[in-house]
Formats: sequence, structure tokens, C-alpha cells
Amino acid sequence: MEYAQFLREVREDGCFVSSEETEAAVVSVLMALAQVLPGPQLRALSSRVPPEAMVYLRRTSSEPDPLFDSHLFLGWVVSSLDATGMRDKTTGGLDLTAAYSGDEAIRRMGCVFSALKRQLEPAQQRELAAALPEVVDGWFLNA
Amino acid sequence: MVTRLDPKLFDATTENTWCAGCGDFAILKALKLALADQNIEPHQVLAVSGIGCGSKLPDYMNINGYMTIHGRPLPVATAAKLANPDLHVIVVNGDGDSYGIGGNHFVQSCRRNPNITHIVENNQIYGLTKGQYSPTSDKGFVTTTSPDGSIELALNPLAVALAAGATFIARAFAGQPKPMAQMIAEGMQHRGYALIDVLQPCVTFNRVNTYDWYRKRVYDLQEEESYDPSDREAAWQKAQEWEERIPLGILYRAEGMPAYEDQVKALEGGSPVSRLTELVRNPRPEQYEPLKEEFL
Amino acid sequence: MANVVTNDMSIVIGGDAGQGVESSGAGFCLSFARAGLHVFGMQDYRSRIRGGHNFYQIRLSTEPRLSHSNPVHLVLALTPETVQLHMDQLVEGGAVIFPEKFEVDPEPLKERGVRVDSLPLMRIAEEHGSKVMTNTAALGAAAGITEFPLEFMESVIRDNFAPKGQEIVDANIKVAQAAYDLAQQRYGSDFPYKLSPIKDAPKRMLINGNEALAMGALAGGCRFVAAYPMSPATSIIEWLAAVPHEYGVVTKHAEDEIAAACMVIGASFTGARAMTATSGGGFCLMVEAMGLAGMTEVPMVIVNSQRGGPSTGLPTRTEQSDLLFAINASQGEFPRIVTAPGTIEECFEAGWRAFNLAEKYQCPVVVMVDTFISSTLRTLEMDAIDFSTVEIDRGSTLTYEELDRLTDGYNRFQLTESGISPRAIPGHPSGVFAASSDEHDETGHITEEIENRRRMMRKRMRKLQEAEKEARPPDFYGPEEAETTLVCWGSTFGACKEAADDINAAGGSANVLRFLDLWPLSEEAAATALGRCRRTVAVEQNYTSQLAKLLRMTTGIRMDQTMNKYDGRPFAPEEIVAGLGKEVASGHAA
Repeated sequence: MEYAQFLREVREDGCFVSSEETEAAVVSVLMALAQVLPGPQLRALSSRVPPEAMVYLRRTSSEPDPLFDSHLFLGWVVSSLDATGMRDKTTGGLDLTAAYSGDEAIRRMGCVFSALKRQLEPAQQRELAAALPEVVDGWFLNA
Repeated sequence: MVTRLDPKLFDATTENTWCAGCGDFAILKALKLALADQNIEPHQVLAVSGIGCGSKLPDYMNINGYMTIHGRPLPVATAAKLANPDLHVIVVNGDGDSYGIGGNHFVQSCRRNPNITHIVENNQIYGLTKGQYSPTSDKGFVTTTSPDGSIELALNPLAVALAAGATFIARAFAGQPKPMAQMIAEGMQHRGYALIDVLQPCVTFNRVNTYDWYRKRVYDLQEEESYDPSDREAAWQKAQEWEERIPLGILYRAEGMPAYEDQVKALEGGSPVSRLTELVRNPRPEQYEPLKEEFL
Repeated sequence: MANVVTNDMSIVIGGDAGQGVESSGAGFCLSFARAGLHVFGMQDYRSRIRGGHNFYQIRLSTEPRLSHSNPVHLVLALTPETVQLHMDQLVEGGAVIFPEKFEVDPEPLKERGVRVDSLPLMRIAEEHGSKVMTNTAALGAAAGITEFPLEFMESVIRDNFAPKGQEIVDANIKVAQAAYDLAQQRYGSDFPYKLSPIKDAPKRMLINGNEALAMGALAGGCRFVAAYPMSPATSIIEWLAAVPHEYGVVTKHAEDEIAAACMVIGASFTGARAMTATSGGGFCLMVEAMGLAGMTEVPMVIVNSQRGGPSTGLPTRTEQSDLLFAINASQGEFPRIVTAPGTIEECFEAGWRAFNLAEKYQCPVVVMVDTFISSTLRTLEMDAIDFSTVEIDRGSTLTYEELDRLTDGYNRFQLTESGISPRAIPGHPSGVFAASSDEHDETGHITEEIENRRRMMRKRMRKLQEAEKEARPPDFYGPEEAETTLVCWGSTFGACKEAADDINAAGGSANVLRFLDLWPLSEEAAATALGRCRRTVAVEQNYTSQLAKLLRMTTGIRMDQTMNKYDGRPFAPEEIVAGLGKEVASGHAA
């Protein structure tokens, strides 16, 4: 599949405002996956995504960090969201929308996951889910 | 076989108010694991924090905790350790708390070498006040208090710690909790002041120093076979690295240095806490009589 | 020759900073104390290491005195400037002595009946020892003039100079002896003020307020002291740091007063009795930490030895200008206790009592002293410092055994009728808790919930009501009924007491109303006491009459008169008497 087509699928799954936003979500989810998937699952996934996306599935260390959990996974995706608003003239600083960030990130992650799942056989999906941290596997399977 | 506590023992029921995906979650997890791995029970630990997002950490754990005031957990913790050296004392606070408002205490703690472990949640931004530049923000960083970009150079905490005489200096990355837990445990095992500066992305206010930004730059010092953490010169060189490559791991460790409280003569016969307990039981007022002699 | 007055005189030793005036004065005081005389020694020095006039004023009597007094009978001038500066204090029949070669115009003194003499003190010092022993020569001469037996000075010289070696001891004794002989020869019979040892007098200590306070703290179980050096409080941590290690006092010279205050809180949180000592400027830096102790209900003892403010102000001089500051220090509202000992004996008591109050009410306690009481030396009877009177009352602090018995969990900030919650010390499995400077619930967890906030505020403030019950009501000194009542707090008590005595002796009518516990201040107790007074005069070492303001704020009662001194020099009784006016002093008040 072409990268552009993959991005379109993700975008159609959820209400992304722009293609930049869509790509940011895709990139962050792939990079987070790269942090948690063991070598075989990571390689399997790499073979199913467009070549442009493969670059995001690289990991520097050989083994995933066993403590990498759903909070960290979410952190990568939340990083791709803009959670600040205008200046907060009452208490100072920037007003923030971070209260929505978690849910919004999970929603966007779901769009990326479902586009990815379409590239995978059910058995492959189950295998991948089994390699994901607790909670993240649920996000993946329910997407 | 060494028994190991269940990290869940340290879970609290308190509502966590950190942003989803905050790097502090990884620090919380790593700390619980480090304590469990060392078989330290909740009542044997005191975590002292300051003020800021990360300083709420003791509220999210089942241990003795003291959330103090902005910038001041180091002196509070230093004295807590002196008063009762049996407690494992940990300081956990942010970069503004440690290196800004508490900068003097940080420098003094390095040279003082109390047997405490200092975990700095360094996200290069003020989160709780909603996005102002911090002492570790890079030059040019745009925030509400630096609309034209920060003019000051970023403070280099590792180099400062090294120059100030710290005996254990490590850097961890919140994106890699396992080595962080290891560093915390090693810091706690180290006799003396142990600094663990944790690069911790603020997912809401710091749009520059993200997980990905760090991932691209960090590398593990231990993978460099020739690196010797007891070599102060080498540590100094490594401490300068930032822009392109950022070293993680134990940067410097001086073995065999006595901790501050090891050298306090008044502690030899008991701690202030144990002595007071003893005095309540047996006040022995006559013990003070000889002190009148100097006034005669 | 005039009638001889024995054992009732004041001596001034004056010179430049760096001339050893302090140690000479203190040593001289000790020799008189060893001779059984009552001594009151006040040093007056500037904030510099060298240069500038310093002096030591020693009052000697057969009765205990709580203050210095004027006039002065003998001035030992180690600089020509000393003669000029102390001329007006000298009594008729008194004397000024100074080393040879000083150019001093004796006429104005002679006109006032003061004897002016140059003695070859430097020559004597050089002949028998060295020039640095000129002070010893001057003291020897003073002993000679007053015919005070040299053996007492000798014993002090032996003790003080012993670390420098026998030769130095011997030389100093020779110098003192030579000066003594010469002075006695010249003055002996015709100097009317004499000092004579008192036979069979009991042994007495020569001690200052800081030392007494530190000793009290030690006896009260204080085993942790953190401070940053600041005059006039420095000697508190110094004294405790010098206590033998067996007592186990951990002292920490911190990087600043912020750290010192935070260290006290850290040690106390962990279960030690901990204290810091500072002056106003350092107290300013401790104020934020004081709020932390208030909010997290950690016992904390702060000694504020006040000096002349604002800012650096008069670093070595006295003032009582931090009272309202201490009562109101730090943002927000929380209970704190402020107490102000007025005598050195009370400093000892305040030293241990502060810890009981702090632990009982789990709040900061500020002990207010000042340069005057911190540093003036006084002879004290041995039993005035009675360790057997010291109590250690840790209030609701839970013992290890009590924690063992806890079965259904532990709430550090449990709501109670008194507001005082049982306090666990970290380290017991049943007493694990987290405390926070943020508003928190009974368990210690952070919350901003409305009802909880109200409950916790009320809980903390109830402790203040409890503490008020234990606060000491103001006490009267002197006749029950008096035309004039001198209202005071802290160290001015000594001068007020003597002023009242002098007024009553001269046929007037005065007493003293003294406030020892200043916060919480019972409206009822204060109003009752003030209601007994006919005419009140607040005597305070400040500009704005802070006690008078506090009393008016609490009781609505206004003082009839205020007497203020803010030049950094302590009130002498005569000044108070003079300030009241002739009518009051001689009993013709309306």
C-alpha cells in the first residue's frame, strides 16, 4: 500500500483537521510501537506498512524496555497533540486542553491502529496485541 | 534466593492529576520498582518533594512523604536523614525546583554529600505555572516569559554537580524506565548524595524536547566499553555533550567517600531521634550539671 | 575624702575594636563573680573587626541586678576617644585612667570633679611582658584603684591564658601585679569606690541569655540545631556545637537561613527536637518555612534575637522591633506561639519550654530575645538553672508502642476536638503518611474541596485556642496598687523593674506589668491585668510601640503613654525614670 493511501485511510477513520495532524498521529503511534514491540513482531509489522512508514519503526536498542507501559505509550501520542490554548490571563501561562489529551490521543491512536489492523491477518493482529503492554493491547484490539 | 517485594505495595489510591502521557508516570513506576527490588518497605522510605507537577509524586505513592515548599526539599531531606539515618531518604522535584529556586541547596548538597538520593524530573519547562522557561531550557526557547526566546544559556546540571563535588551523577530518560529504575537503585545503594537527572518530556508545554527529540539523541554510556565512571576528567567531557548526542547512565561515581552523616561525631552514640526517645524514658537531668562549670 | 562606697559601682572599659575589649571585660567580670559579687556586664560593640569604639560596662553590686546603670565610677580608656565618649557618664569623685602618651584635655572632667590620670600602662606591659598586655595592665590598675584583691584576677588569667602557655600566664600576672601596685599607691586611700570580695558567698555562674537558652534547649531534648551565623544569635549554635559529642547534638551551619529553617523542619518531621537561632534578617528568610511548619503541623523552634533594623540596620545593637512581625510572619493564617523571656533565668526555661509547646501544639514557636539579653552577662545562682525542673512533654506524639497498637489505619491530620492530631514519626509500618504544604485531608492527601478546607482550617486554628489556655497571663512586679504601671515585654523588664524600685524608693508609686507569652494573647487575661492599672506607660525598645498596638488590637485598651527607644542602646533604669517626668518619679503624679 502507498503511504498516501494509508494516511487517507487513517484520516477517514477519524476527524483529523489536517493531513499534518493525521501524519503526526501516525508517526507517533509507529514510533511508540517501535519502543514496545519485540524484534520479530516489529519486523513483521514493518513488512506490512508502506516503506515511508518503516523508518518510524526503527528502534535503537535491541530489546524493548520491559517497563514501557501504557502511560509512556500514550505519552508519545499525546506529544503529537497541541494541548495548549491561548494565554491564560487569569492565572498566567497558557490555558491548556490537556484534560482532553488522553482521550483524544486514544481516539487518534484507534484510527491508526484500525488502519494498521487492516494490513494484518487476524492471527498477526493477535500476535501483535499479545506483545503490547497492558491496556495498550486493549486499545489495539478494540480499534 | 533474594525475595523481592511486589511494586504494587507502593501503589496509592489517590487521584493522579498529571497529564496523560506525562513522563512523571515513568519516574513513579521506576521508583516503585527500585524500592521493590531493594526490598525496602513503605515505612522505611521518606520521599521529600518541593512544589511543581513532579513534586506531587509522594502523594501518588504509599510511602512516607513530605511535599514541602518550592526549592527546599534538599535541606529538609538532609536534616531528616541526619535526624534518623535509618530512613531511606529520597528527594524528588523538578528542574525549576532543583536548579532554579533551589540552586544553592543543590550546589551545597553536592559538596555536602548527605546520604540521600535526588531524582530531578527535568522537563526543561515550568509545567504547574503553565509553560514558562526553566533553568534547563535551551537558549532561544520561546515561552510566555521568554516570548523572544530565552536569552540565558541552559544550566548544565551534570557539569555543575561534578564541579561542586557530587559523588554520584547519573542521567536517565523517562522513555527508558528500566535503566532509570536501575540507576535509582544504584543511587540509593551509593553512600552519599546521588543525583539522577531524569529527562522527562512535558507532553503539554514543551513542544521541543519530546520523547522523539530525546530518542534521537540519547545513548547509553555503558555501551561505550572504554567509559570509566570513576574518571572525573572523562565525566567532565561527557557532561558537555548535549546538542547532538546525550549520554545516559552513570556519568560519575566516586567510591569510598564517606557520606556527611558518617563524619558527624555527635551521631556516633545514636541519632537525635533515638536519643530523644531515650531521654523521654530516662531524662537524667544530672548529666547536664558539668556544663555549668564553664561559667564559674 | 568622701564616704567610701563598697561594692556598688560601674566600670567602663573602652577601646577600639581589635583591642580585646570584649575578652578583657568578660574576664574582668568573671574575676568579680568569683569574688562573690553580683555582676552585670554589658558589651557595646560595632559591626566591624577592627577600629571604631567598643566598650564594656560592668556593674558590680551586692544584690542581683537585671540591667546596667548610670552613672559610671571608673573609666579605663584604651583610646583617647573613650575619654571623650564616656565623659558625661562619670560621677563626681569618679576617675578616668588611660595609658601614657594620650593627649587628653583633663579640664572638662576636672571641672566635674572627676579625677583624670595617665598611668604608664604600656611601659609596665612592655617591662614585664609585652605591649599586647596593656589591657591586663589596665585591669590590674583598676583592681588596684578599687583595692580589689588581685588573686581573683590572677585565677582568671590562669584559666584564660593557660592554652597559650605558662610563660604567657606568668607575664600577664606580673603585668597585672605591677599595675596594681602602682595604682593602689597613687589612689589607694583617696578613691571612694571600693570593691571587696564577699566572704562565704555562694558560687555563681556568669552567663548570658544565649548560653542559658541553649542550655535550656539541650536539657529539653534538642539534639539538632541548624543555623546561619548572624549577630547576636550566633553564640547559640556555637555553644551547642561545642557541647561534648556524648550529648549527641547535631549542629549544622547551613548555607543560609532558608536552609536552616528547612533543616529544622526536616529533622523535626522525622521526630527530633530541632531548633534554629537567628536575628531579624535571617528570620525574614525563614518566614516561608515557618508557614510550611504551620500548614504541615510540624513542631519548630525559632529563636529570633532581635537587633536594630530595618535591613542590616544596627547589627550589633539591640531593639524590640520584630514583635508584630513574628506574630504575623508568613502568608495565610496558622497557629504559632510567640514568647519572650525577660531574664536570663527565663531564657533557660524558654529554651526547653519552647519544645514542649511546639510538640504539644505541633506548630512553630518563636522565642524572642534581643542583643541586650542575648549577650549581657549576669551572675546567676547555681540553682537558677535547675535541670530537674525541665520536663519533656511530647504532647500527642505517638510512641512506637502506641503505633504498634493502631489497628484501623492512621490519619496524620485526624480531626479532633482540640485540633491536635496524634503525630506519628516516620519509620513505623502502621504510621505511614504523606504530608503536604498544599491543603490536605485527614490522611494528608492534597485536596481543595470546600468542606474539607473549612474543616482543616478550623482544626488547625483550634490549636491556637488550646495554646491560649496554657499561655501565661501577664505578671506584675512591685506594689499591687500603683500610680504608674510600666508595661513591657522581653529584656526591657530588667530596666523597668529597677526603674519602678527607684521610683518607689524615692516616694513615688510605680509597678511593672510584664508580658512573657505574647501569642496567643488572651484578651481576658490582658484586659484584666490592664484593668488593674491606673496609668499605663508602654516601655519599648522600638519606634512604633508594638506591644501597645498588640494590646489595643486584642483588648481595645489604649496605653496612656508610650516610651520608645530606637537608638540601638538598651534602656537604663535612670532613663526610664527621667522619661516619666519629675512628677512620677517623686510621687507627685496627678
